[in-house]
Amino acid sequence: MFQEKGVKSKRKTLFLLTFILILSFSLMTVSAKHEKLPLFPEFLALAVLEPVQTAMVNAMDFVTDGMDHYFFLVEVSKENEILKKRILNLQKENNDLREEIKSSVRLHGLQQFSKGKKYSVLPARVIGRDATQWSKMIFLDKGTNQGVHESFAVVSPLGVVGQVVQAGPNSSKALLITDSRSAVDAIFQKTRNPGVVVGNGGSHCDMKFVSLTAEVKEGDVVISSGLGGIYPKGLIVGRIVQTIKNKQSLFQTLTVKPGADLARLEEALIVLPAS
Amino acid sequence: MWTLLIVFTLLCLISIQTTLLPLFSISGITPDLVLIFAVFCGIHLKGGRGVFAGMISGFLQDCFSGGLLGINTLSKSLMAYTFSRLKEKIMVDGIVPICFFLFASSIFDASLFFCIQILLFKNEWGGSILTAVLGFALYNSILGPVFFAMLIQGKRLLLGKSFPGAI
Repeated sequence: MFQEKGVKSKRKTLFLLTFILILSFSLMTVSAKHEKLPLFPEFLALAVLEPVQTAMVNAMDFVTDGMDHYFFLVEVSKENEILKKRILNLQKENNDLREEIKSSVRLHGLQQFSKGKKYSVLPARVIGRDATQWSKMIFLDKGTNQGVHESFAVVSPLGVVGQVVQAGPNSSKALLITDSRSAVDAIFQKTRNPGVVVGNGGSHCDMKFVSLTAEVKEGDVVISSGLGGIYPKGLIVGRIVQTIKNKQSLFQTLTVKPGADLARLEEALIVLPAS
Repeated sequence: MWTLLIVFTLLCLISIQTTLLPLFSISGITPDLVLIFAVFCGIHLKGGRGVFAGMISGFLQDCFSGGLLGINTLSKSLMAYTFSRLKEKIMVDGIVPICFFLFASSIFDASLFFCIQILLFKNEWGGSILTAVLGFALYNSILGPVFFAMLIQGKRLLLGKSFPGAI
């Protein structure tokens, strides 16, 4: 009697474990195969959670706004916000001007072409972040109804943020440049040396394929090269914070601090291709 | 009924996880409420229900993350399964065991994630990832007992009887 019960229990355990393994690996293989396409459960989840996330963010904004503007220094706080926004705009303007000077020196004849922006941007609010610790992703409150699709670049006035990997009707998921699956073709603003900025899963990125002979200093600005077709040329990717030259290696090991504050990002701009 | 209850609880938890919790991140590390919930289900739900709840937890988390679909399903169901078996053999109540279980579960969760990512995609991570894993495990184990107490209270309120209940 007891022996029979034990055998039954073992069978049940074996069945349960087999089921878990088959289900998980099936999901993983299907997901890996359709890497660029959102699967139905993900699409459904995006649609289901979007109203809840928006409501929560609105509630949070209401509370923080009340705290910032009413409980504490009413005028100073507002003035500070305006000044911060002005600084951000000036930083962006400064970067744009530098890029313009560079391009006018290098490509004088094509100045008119590179000056004219071939894209427009759509402001979006960050309504959520990844549900796990290890993927670096954000949820945005704009989706296909607003013209957002997969592989659209996401930027902020301070730099590149990432790219849209899934777009639902009214929200989308964007993979940040710090995610280990992310890569941005980049060049140094000053020396124009090329490289690839890849995420390392932490708060910073690594810059790869920069030759040992290239002169790189801490603080050097890295911008998008425009190659790859996702990120427009000339956007700040970040600044070099660490350089390691290993003589045994062909390339330098560089650490890049993203230009945009990805941990505290509240709004972002989705780059729309020119229609 | 209990399946709906678990799904509803999970949707609430994931909403908090994706919106409120990043505000409490320390050096970019945020606790994993779904992991804590999966361990809770393994310990406090009867038989196969704990494992099933763990599986749903992982699956929903997968849907709301940018990672590979199925990683969290596997990780959370294995966690719930382990604790549903262990609870008959070892002491699972009290702050210290819960802290320890959550610490071990977090390490397991992260290890499984990195192993699968490396094996399938050959992704690379920076050296700081070990610190992040330890920080993640520590944060979960500190927050876990508080969260466990809240879930136990919630279960008590819902069932209207003393714990351990009969779900």
